[in-house]
Amino acid sequence: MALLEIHHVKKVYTTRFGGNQVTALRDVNFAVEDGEYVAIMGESGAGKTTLLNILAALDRPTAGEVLLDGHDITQISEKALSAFRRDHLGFVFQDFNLLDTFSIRDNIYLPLVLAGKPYREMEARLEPIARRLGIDDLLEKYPYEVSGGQKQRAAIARALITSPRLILADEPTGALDSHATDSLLRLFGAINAGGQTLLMVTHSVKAASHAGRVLFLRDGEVYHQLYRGEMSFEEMFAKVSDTLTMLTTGGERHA
Amino acid sequence: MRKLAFYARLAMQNLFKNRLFYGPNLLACTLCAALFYIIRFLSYSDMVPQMRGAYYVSFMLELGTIVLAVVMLSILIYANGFIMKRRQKELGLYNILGMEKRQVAHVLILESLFLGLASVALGLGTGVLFSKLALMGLLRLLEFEIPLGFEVSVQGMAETALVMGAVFLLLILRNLWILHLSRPVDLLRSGNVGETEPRSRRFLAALGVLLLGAGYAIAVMIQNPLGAFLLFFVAVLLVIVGNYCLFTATSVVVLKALRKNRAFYYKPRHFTAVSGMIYRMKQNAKGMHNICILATMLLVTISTTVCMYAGSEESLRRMYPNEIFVGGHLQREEVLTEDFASLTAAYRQAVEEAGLSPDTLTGWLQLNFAAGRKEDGFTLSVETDLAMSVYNLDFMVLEDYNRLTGQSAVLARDEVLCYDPSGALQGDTLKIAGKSWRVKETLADYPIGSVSMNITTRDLFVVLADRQTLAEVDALQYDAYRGDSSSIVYAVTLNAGAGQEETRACLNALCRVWNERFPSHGYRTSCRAEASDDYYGMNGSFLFLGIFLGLAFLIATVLMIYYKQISEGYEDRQRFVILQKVGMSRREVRAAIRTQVLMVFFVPLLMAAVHMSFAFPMISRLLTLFSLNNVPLFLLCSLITFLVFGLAYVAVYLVTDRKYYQIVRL
Repeated sequence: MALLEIHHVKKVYTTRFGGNQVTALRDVNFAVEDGEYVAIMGESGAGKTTLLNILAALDRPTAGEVLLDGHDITQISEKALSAFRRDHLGFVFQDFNLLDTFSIRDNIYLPLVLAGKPYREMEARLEPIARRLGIDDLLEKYPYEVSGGQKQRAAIARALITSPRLILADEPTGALDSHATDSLLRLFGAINAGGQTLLMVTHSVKAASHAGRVLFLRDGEVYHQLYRGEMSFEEMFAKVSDTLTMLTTGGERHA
Repeated sequence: MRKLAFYARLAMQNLFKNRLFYGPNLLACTLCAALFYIIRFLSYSDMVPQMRGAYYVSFMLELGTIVLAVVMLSILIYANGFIMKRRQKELGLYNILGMEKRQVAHVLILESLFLGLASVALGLGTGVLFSKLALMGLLRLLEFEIPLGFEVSVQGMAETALVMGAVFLLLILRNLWILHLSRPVDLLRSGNVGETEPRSRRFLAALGVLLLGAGYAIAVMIQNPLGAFLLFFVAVLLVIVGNYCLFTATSVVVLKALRKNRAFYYKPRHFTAVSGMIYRMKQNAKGMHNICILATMLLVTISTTVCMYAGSEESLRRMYPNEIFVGGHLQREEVLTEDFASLTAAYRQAVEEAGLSPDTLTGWLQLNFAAGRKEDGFTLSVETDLAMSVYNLDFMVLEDYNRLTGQSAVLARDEVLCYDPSGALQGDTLKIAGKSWRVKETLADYPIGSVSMNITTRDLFVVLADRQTLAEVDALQYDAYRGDSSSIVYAVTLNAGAGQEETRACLNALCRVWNERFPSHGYRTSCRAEASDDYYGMNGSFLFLGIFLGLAFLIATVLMIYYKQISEGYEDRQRFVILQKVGMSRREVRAAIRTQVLMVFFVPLLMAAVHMSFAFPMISRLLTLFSLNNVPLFLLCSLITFLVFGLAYVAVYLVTDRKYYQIVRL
């Protein structure tokens, strides 16, 4: 059984004034296996963010189901939702979403504190993660005192510390320079190699080319997908790039 | 000309687009202008000179004008500063889009101009509408008849427009200065400068506690009303500075100490609250301090003036125990020779001729002077020593005492009877400047009331054996005090319960009697009815001013609360979103942020209540200077004032709370 299964997910927004309906997702179907590294690409307006919000249980689909370990997360009650999100999902955002009011350490502890974990356990969990991400000497600093790349590492640590089933990343390299981007993508690769399932939404061909599989979203549907297989990074990069060009010029459906 | 029209349109648009800020600002300006017009209208009203205690009323109105102008200025500067800070980014954008600073300045000037004109126009309208109501209120407080008709004071209008114009000119200059100093890049960036954590300033934190403690100690420990009066402003200053340190420094140090405590800090409820508060304190400490001080001032002003007004009659009776008092000064030898029975008879006849009943007429020989109490009796040394307790010694002779009480007590030359309501005697000997008398009996009651004009000094009443002894005591105090000495008087009091006019006529008749008998001797009089005019005039206009300034303080407080909510809202929005994404439920987020906002709002009110409680004993003592010694009345006034203010505060909070949620809503 796949870790994550998305069946016929549809999302229709009704605009605030008048009954104008906008279909963000028409019919999305795909599955993510345990330990996979999946990137989702698409143009602005293709429904990437909507899809990610639904996967993150921040938003509910109009129709369809989202199964995580066989449980439909769209059916979880509003009350249990945030606990579910905290325990099963980790998030990495484009703009880091670290709170300036907390030190890096406390930012990373945040989900554990919310879950009511004792301090000793939080400390024990943080230690190996911080060492692996190379942020052990930044822990007492504040988000505004460190660089973008360091912020993103802290955000990844925050996502990892709950040992989630799945990490969702929304344009994780969007706010980083090319050097920080490279090191972040290497880090993602390493995390995935350690068995962590990753799902990333991105614009960046470079970022997507690091993934094991790339899904292309267009007009609210999965339009195409690419498996890395035995391809090298350069080959994958070329492939993703070509597919994108085809997507924007409009071609036949493959998926 | 076309250009000007363009700027004008832009200025109007800006005002409208920023109506979330400019709306309340316009309202506050309008109310300030209205209040200012009303107080000037009252100053120029024909009614004031006719009022009782007209002198006090017009003095209070002039004083009120000045205080109001200062309060107004600070309100408008605060509001303007807040708005300018919020609009930095917008101004920076204009600059970057190619508008020169000069052009932005034109727009800013026009904005202030529109705002100023609108608020003066609206304010004068509101002021004229409510001026009659205010006049009626004032007349009501002074127990004066309310005339018909409606007046408009052109002079008041002109002055209001002038003052508002001056304030707005100041604001324009300030804004231009801000614009002049700004660099466009900074303007653009100012919205999202990374907020750094406030440093802990241990010295200031400790100083805050220390100063506040000192202020409170003065308020609680000074027993002497005169000392309280002298030190009141010292205490106020200490508390204000201490309060500032408390909010800006002590709070941060305490919160950081809480954060150090892991067992406490790493709990879901405390985690976000404590860290959030540390940041909030940085941005809000000054605002919270201002609100706290304003609220305290408002509470103290209103409760004190209400109490003084409500206690007018009581303190009047204390200051003027008799409706009429005439005390004619006598030479020492006359005390021994004069026939006072015939003088009293002449007084009785005068009262009857004035058409009143002489039944309550009382006449007696009286001598009183101040003396300091030491371990071994009373001293007449003139040195003024605040620490020494001063007593008013009041003497009469046995024949008067027996006549007034219907008793037939007997005293030897070296014996006295004493009435000692404030525990002045030590043992059974009365010693004054080396001379001593045996206290034959301490009385349970005394035929006449206190004659001292206020209740800050304490009385000891002494009945001497005869006139000869009285003359000896008089000589004693004359030798000590010389030019400042008292003289023996023949006192008459009358409490016939007559109306103001009859009482006044009767007083004049009594004075005539004295003048006919002793044309060369002076006399002093006091008349409760006469004093009551001044007294009600003073207390009534005090209360009016208290309420009036209270209103101005309230406007300031409300405006600050409103702007505080709005700015909190903008800052919290991002935190809301992040916390929710990281796994806090919507309800938890709301609860957490609500707790913090409630704290930011209600801590100042709480501190104001604490300040007020500590000020209470001191103000109670100050009120005794106004012959008001009614602690339960003051407590009641304070509680009611606090309750009313608290309700208004909560109401304002709830209204602004809605706006807040409109901003942060996800």
